[in-house]
Amino acid sequence: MMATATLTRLEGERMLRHPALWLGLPVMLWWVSSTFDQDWSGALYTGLIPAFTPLLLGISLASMSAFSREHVPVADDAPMASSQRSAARLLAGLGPVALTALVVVAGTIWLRVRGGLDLGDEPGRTLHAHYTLPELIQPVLLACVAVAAGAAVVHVVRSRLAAAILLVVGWFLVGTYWLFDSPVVRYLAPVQPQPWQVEVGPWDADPTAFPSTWLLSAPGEYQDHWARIVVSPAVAAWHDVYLVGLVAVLVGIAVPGRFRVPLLVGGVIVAAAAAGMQSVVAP
Amino acid sequence: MTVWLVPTARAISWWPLVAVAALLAGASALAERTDFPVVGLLGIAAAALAAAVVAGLHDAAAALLSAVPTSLAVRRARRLLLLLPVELAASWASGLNVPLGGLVALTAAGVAVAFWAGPLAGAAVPLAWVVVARAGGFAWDQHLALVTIAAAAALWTGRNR
Repeated sequence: MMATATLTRLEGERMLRHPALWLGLPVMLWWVSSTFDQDWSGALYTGLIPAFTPLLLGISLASMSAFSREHVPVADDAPMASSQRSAARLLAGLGPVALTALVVVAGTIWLRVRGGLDLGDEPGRTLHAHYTLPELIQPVLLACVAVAAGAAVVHVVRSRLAAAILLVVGWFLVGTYWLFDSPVVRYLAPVQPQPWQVEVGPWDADPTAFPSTWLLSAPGEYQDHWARIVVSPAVAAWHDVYLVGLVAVLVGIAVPGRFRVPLLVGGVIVAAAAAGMQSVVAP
Repeated sequence: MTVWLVPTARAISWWPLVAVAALLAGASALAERTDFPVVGLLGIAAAALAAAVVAGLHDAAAALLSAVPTSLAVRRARRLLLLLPVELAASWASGLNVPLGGLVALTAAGVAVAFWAGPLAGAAVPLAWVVVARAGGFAWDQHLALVTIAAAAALWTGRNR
């Protein structure tokens, strides 16, 4: 127990000192600031969650670096089994997760002070949109996914260089959120920004005839109809559950020992059930 | 004449190129499904392929082979001769129509940096380039000819480093 705590502290310090983590933070802020340059309604609300991608990538690279040390053979009579060492490294990943939580809290306070975000097109528009709690939890859970993904990829690939390339490409694709904007796939993509759009009328419909409480998206370059903009806390909550399942699967891949099979089986069941529930509660 | 072909092919780590090709093919299929333009994926596709080529340059036996009469430059050229056609094939197979100029510029830049600073830095350059461009909201494919020329010069001068 003492040895596990010591390794957790050591790896935690190393992870928090990893340059990728601290490079990811300013690149994330840059991504956020460039999101402000987009002029379509809802660009900020939709774009702020994917803007965490560089930070998540930094966390994955730091985790990969820690878990790649498992490839160095140690003596058979070492005081800790390999599963204990893996568990200690996983616990060390809580540092970057806590950092992500701090960023989320700071961002939420900033949004509250700012008065909220622009969402919707006239006549169904607000300038005071705020994220719901399940949406705010998503980046923190994504940080857990990032830790587990770094561990799992380097465990499977073995080569640090190849693992780093795959993680960069993987996170970049995951951050390109519109890629997953199709039925079923949107429930399975790790990054799931809201709002959702529900078609409510053709392009020539009178928008003032829609209920005044609706947020609306006008016909434009990418849609030929009027759509209602819906933020669904229920979908976001089930997506959070899906991410928990995903973390379990990735940890099951990365960590050897007797918990591997229960984690893999349990994770797949939780993820599949949560994905199914998302489709049930989706608007 | 081609006695080096099979040993070199066996010594190359093909893992990164194969994995990147599979990822890009998946992304291309998803993009087709959503009907969104694939323009946003071209940069990362070119960078990933370039980084995979750089990863293929990594020679685990470099220290051992430094004593043989075949120079480092020749050994690297042989690896590139095998890697580059596969990179082009993977680019074509992905269905993303990655622009050749961008692919050449990023690959040349990555390989040049790998010659001077090692494969890790070499693989990081094209990837960081595209990620930073995405974060900053600017185009990744600017001044490609200049980049390629500068990289070619760095490649030539660093071929035996």
